Amino acid sequence: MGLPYKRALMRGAVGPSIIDNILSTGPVAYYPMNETSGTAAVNAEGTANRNGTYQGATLGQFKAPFTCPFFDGINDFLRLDESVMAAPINKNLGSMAGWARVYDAGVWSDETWRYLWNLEYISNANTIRLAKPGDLATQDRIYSLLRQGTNIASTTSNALTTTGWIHIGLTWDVLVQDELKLFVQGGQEGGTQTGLVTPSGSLTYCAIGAKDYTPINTWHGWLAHWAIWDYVLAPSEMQLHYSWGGV
Amino acid sequence: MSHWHGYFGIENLNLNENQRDLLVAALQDLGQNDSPFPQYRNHRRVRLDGQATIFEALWDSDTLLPGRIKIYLGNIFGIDPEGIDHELTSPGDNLVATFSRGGTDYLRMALFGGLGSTWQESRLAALAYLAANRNLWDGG
Repeated sequence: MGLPYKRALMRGAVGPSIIDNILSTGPVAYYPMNETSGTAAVNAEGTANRNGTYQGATLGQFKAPFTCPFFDGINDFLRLDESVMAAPINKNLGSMAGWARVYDAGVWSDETWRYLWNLEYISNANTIRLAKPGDLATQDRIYSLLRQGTNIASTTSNALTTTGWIHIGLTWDVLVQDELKLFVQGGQEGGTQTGLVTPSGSLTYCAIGAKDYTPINTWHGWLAHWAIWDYVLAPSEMQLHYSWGGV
Repeated sequence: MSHWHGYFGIENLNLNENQRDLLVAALQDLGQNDSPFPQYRNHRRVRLDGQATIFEALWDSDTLLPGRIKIYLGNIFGIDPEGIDHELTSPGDNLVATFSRGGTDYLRMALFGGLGSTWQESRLAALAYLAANRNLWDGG
């Protein structure tokens, strides 16, 4: 990690807002999701064609400390343009992080897969994702996956019951460190996974709050401040990111 | 004109693919599609097999009445809508209409929560339906 980034990080740590702080880390796309109207989820990083499009979602909900959209668990999600996002997103090396909140405690036992962010390359067999599983054994956890065909690296968080905000992060490094790491509330959970193989093919779906554009496996609750980077956030940086939310 | 913000579903029973696509195209034009609020714009979810869709929008209530659906179907079939029968049922909190012609059921539609429901009531009814039919609507 270069010195300019370290300086930016230091500036960000004392910055006036969570948006300034997150921007100081140089994400390739960052969606504060604090709009109150319109269908555009503005990419605060500034590249306009990386803006997302809300499909449904009730904007402008205040769930302290965030103004954020509510996703109904049925047909709401945030669609990103996969043809645009394919270039800035690095499937070999990257991070994604943001805040999620479930509608009620029943979501943790609804036996339904609910996606936070899915990067799907050609098929379900080539993907990088964060989701809440639907199977009984792990439905109350956060699941992360980096998959190329039968080469599967996945990890699962500790059990969750909270209906408050959860900071969730994922880092992947296929080529250098060979590590997949899941972070919850700033700390790593589930252990470091190795044996990563780069997902094959071009980006087919890039959806926040759903698996695809059908949409299936939609998030049920609120999402805020999701960002993606083309480098691996260090654990300390993920912890710092978490702290900026103030929750 | 009254409006209703809620969830409206259709299930294809015997329409062919072209007829189904024409109906979906007609229905997805409904709703407040110029609204600044995404939840009022027509957006949908398609069942895994492609044979059912749940739409959400701020609807002109009249457009979802069985008589209006018959007009859509009549246009698709190229027949007088009066030649289409329908049967209403009310399973749970939902209003369901099944449309038939010549003794064959062609389409089922459901207003989740019924037309008098609030958005939240309609949403919870739709969620309950999805939970009861999870294998048809949610993949792994």
